[in-house]
Amino acid sequence: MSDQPLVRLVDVGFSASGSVILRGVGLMVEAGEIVGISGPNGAGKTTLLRLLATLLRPTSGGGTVLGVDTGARPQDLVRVRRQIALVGHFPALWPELTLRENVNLPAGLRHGPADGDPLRAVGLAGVAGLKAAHASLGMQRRVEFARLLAWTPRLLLLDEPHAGLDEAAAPLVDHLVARVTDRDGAVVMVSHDRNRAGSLLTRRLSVTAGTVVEAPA
Amino acid sequence: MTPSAFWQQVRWVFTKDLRVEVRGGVTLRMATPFAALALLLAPLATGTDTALLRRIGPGMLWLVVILFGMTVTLRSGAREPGPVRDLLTLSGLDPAAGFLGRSLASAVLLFGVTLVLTPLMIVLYAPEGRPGWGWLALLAVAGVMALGLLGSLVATLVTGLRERTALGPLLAIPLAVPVLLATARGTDSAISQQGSLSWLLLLVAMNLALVIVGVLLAGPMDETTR
Amino acid sequence: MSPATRSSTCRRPDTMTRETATLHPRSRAITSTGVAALCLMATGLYMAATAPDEETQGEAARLLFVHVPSAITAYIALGAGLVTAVWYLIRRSPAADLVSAAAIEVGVLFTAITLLTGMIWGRFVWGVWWDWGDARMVSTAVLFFFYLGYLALRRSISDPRVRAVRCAVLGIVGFVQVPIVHYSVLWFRTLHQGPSIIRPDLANSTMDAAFVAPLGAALAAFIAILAYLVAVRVRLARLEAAVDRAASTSQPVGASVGPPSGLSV
Repeated sequence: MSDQPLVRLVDVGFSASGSVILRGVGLMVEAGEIVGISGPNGAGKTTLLRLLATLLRPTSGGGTVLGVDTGARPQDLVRVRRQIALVGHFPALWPELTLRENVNLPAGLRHGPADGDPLRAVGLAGVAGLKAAHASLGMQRRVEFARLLAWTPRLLLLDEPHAGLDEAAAPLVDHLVARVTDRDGAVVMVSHDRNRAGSLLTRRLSVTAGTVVEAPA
Repeated sequence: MTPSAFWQQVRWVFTKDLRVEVRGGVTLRMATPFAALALLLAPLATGTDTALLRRIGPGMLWLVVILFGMTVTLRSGAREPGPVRDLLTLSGLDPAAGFLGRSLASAVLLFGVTLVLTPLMIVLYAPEGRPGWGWLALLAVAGVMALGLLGSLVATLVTGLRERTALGPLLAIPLAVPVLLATARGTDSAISQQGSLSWLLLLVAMNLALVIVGVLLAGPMDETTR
Repeated sequence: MSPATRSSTCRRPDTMTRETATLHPRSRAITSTGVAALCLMATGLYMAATAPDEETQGEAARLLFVHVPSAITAYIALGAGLVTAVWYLIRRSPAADLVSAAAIEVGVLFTAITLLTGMIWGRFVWGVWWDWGDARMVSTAVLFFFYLGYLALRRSISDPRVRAVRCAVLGIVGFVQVPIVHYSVLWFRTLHQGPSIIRPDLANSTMDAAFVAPLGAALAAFIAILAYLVAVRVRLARLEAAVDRAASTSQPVGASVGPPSGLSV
């Protein structure tokens, strides 16, 4: 198990509603890697992250994510999914609930409540009672990071993690990434922000016209 | 997944949905007053013939609960934003547990709507006879449960579609006909002290059928919502 | 429009020719089904027109030869639609989805014919277009609206896989609900003592042999029409799918996104 790559995609294609999004994607991610993905708008970066999260199934080709086949039955994917975290382009928050509830509620589904106060750790303790609908994009991002302080995924998928974050909050991303790689996990990060993300990465890839290529350094 | 973990997830979804609904307040602040308004308007359309109103009162109550309640149920079922659905999936939520939890929460909301509207109906329409309250309660519970199950099933089918607000009721309401007949006609029978066992059994059968279909097909349906 | 003219409007004629080539041989079978349906219909019409007058209902009774076969055909079509929906969920075969959709679409058409002829019959025999006492009429109307919803759902979803799964699920939900709807309406009727009438129904009327033969012929004609329409509909759906495939490039979407251009300062 430990020798296996965390992600192994072979000739994966994905299309929806008659449009091809990805094709011929080959990708290996080993434990400890921090892979950066860049590419023009509409190239298929977000779709690739969702394939890695097992939220989408390849429509052609296949492979394994955390040792389980990408085409496995949903009940077999459950165990794998619980070890994957995706911080997507749009924040996964309930707009009607407060920031604190948005941290505690998913924790109840996954595990018990976190030790300490994750909202304090991300600097939001003072606005814990604010409704998510009234929080800025950067604050919502921080709430998602606060959730990740209570557990450590094996595979962390980040879609533009720095978008909306202020300078002071940027080290949060570094911290979360380090937690994952320290425990033999891997990180795949879509980012256009070379200044902030660049120093973290162990490898750069580019999604261009629906396929993955090594990015020029 | 162990049965206890499954029911824990059902309970989690149930409390989460109710909490989101209470905070949003659409059912309480908008749907219920709108439904009450419908009860007030119907006599203006039919004419205020007291004998007629006495007869149609219970039927109007349930018609209004089904038409307005179903839109609330469909809305709450289809409301969760895509990223939140992803979060729940990655947290290992069993789609069948999600279906049952959502249905139960909707049923509780609909029961609340019915509780608010019933006294209003009695005041406005003054139905005659002394109802068997036990029968009425049983019919109402079985009725709102069936509506909750039907609503969250159909909500999943229209998730993510642009036309969902118009399409949902068209899919769900024809299938809610047994609920309308059983609750409204069952109330008639209960008022005339005839008992409503057959109507109740019909609703129980409907609940069972929807639970079985919903639980078995929750997985395949969930796969189509991403 | 023939398949040949269709293919000329597509961007990639090579694929289209191959697609239509696999579809074309079936059209002969479809045409013969159509011709057979026409012959059967002519026979049925002749037999219905020359059947003796019914004692109490007079000429209106001839509606029996349209109403009853269309009702039976509608049930067959919707039943076939449901069986193929279950089949789709088990095997995930796109063909099962296409057949299911075609059968239900044609089934809705026959349901509409059943409702219309039932109403016309009711107008002649009972004096009203709509009889709330007739449980079958009421529950058929509910069924009709449910399946209109089904067709609307189909049109609203563009991804073929998503559409197939969701429509199959809806079909199954409808299937388990239909008996419950029917019984609820039946019990509703018994509360509202409907008029006892001669219903357009095979079971409860002692039917003269003179009526059975034309009825059988009409039923055969309707079933042949059903087979023809479903076959045509499936072929059409396949051609549509082929056109979609040919029209969509195999190029990933991202390849067509260029840098902004033509901006002037």
